[in-house]
Amino acid sequence: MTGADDDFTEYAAAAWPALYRRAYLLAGQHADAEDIAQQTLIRVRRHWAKVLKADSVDAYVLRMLTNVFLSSRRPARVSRELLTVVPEPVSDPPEDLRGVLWPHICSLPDRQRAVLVLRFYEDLPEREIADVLGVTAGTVKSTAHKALANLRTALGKEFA
Amino acid sequence: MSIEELVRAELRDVAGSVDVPRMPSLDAEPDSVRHRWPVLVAAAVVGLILVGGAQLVLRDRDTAPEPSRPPEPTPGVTRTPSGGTVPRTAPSGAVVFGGAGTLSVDGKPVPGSWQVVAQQGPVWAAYLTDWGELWWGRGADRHRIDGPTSGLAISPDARSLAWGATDAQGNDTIHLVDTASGQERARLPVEDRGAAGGPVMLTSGGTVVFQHCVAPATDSGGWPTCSKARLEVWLPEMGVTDRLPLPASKPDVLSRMVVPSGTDNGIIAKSRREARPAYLRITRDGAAEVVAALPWRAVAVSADERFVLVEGECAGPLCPWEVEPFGGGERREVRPPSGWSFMPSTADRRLFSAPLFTQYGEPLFVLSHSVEEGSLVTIDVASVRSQEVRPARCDLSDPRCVLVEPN
Repeated sequence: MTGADDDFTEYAAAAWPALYRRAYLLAGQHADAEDIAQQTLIRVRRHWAKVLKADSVDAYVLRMLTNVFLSSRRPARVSRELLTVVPEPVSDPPEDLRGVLWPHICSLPDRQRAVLVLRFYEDLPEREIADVLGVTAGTVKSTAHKALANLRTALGKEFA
Repeated sequence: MSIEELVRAELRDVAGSVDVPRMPSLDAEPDSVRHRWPVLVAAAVVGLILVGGAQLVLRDRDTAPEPSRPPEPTPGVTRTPSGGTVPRTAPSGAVVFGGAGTLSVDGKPVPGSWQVVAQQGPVWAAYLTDWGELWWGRGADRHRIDGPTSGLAISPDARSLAWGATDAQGNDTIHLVDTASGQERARLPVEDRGAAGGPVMLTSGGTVVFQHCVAPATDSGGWPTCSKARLEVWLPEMGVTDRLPLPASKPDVLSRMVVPSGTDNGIIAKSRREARPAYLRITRDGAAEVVAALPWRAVAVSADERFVLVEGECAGPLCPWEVEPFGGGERREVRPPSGWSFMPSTADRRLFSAPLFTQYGEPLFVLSHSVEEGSLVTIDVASVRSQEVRPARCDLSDPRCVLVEPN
């Protein structure tokens, strides 16, 4: 085993739990999360020399993880159709709704969920999210807005 | 607590409570990981690549003397009853799709996980999924295309490549490059092009046909889309743009209004889902010459403009494809290779799905068939015994097909 292999193995072992958690937030289920995290690490290993040259290894790997997630899923046409009409925002939900929000997050279209995870779990600014996703900051902003509006509406209906 | 705070807290709660399994082996190649890409897309990509390569074969064959009567069947070539030959092999020296996620150029694998978007002779465009990057190349010489893109077309002579891109300020531009030098030949700023726009066809003369979004919108995911678009033609040498004589498209046929077909300046277009398709030629001065109305479900015109390929109605897993003379006449069934069948139709998705490229979500609109020279077309077929999908080359003058052998 070469030094580079050792370095990667050490990195992978350390990064696995965080990668898995991120993948779970994106995919919403364990089987997909494991696939996504595993495939990401396989790609990281394949490009390890290039990854090490990145300004931020974590940022690069996050970008790869997000790409694996978005490119490995078929379009969620049904859920998209259900959400074609942008819902009217309702007032903010009460605090005791924590715990019931996750199923609604899982039901969002992939891109909306990815933006929410990057924005509210990774705490990335819009510009960096745009870089990760390869879209404009304006698109990130509107996507987050619609995702939150969808969640508000879903919660409003559940507790109406 | 605001919804933003609630989401933040919920995501952290969930992440913190996830039972993280042991890290699996990383020795497996990505192909062994469960893939959710539709087989059809992968197959279509294979088909597109092999089709492009096959064109090289055919061009080479044009310059080579035709054996008058080979004593034995030539390996790699199937003789049709009418005496024509249908090449089975893809050539060396071109881009070869070597399996899911791989790309080979001149016989050498290119590192990374790739999804090929388009290919014509030695010129290719592919998406590097590892990094979310779009690249184009001529042989092994490759170039990265920066920024969100939509629409990509390679001219039939492989000398030009065009794509649409959006810069950081949100400005939309169509870029035209010379594939030999890699230099940009011209660019066209397009106001309100929108994500669904971009080049759909590029003639060997360098004329670009592109979709111009005139009513940008966003979908439920917040991604750019379009509620109304029209086809326009751009003549870079003359600095002219003009509309094609088709009414503006409804959104449900956006990105699917036009399919390059027939000669190198021929397209099949329709203005809405319910419309009967028409065959047009783009003239050298950028006008659209309507040549003929085509049958319903017409998907291709042969390069010699003698035949129209029509996708039939599917019955279960069986999907007949048919051919009729260009000017009308008796329709005949195209016979797939023995043991193979044409695949179940997703007609609305495939009929007018020009090989557009979008970065995420529905990333590849790749034709499952492609026009080659003369009366030859290539159509993807599926094994009746397994899930294998391969391209088959069909001679529409004697409607039978042979499997194209991968390199």
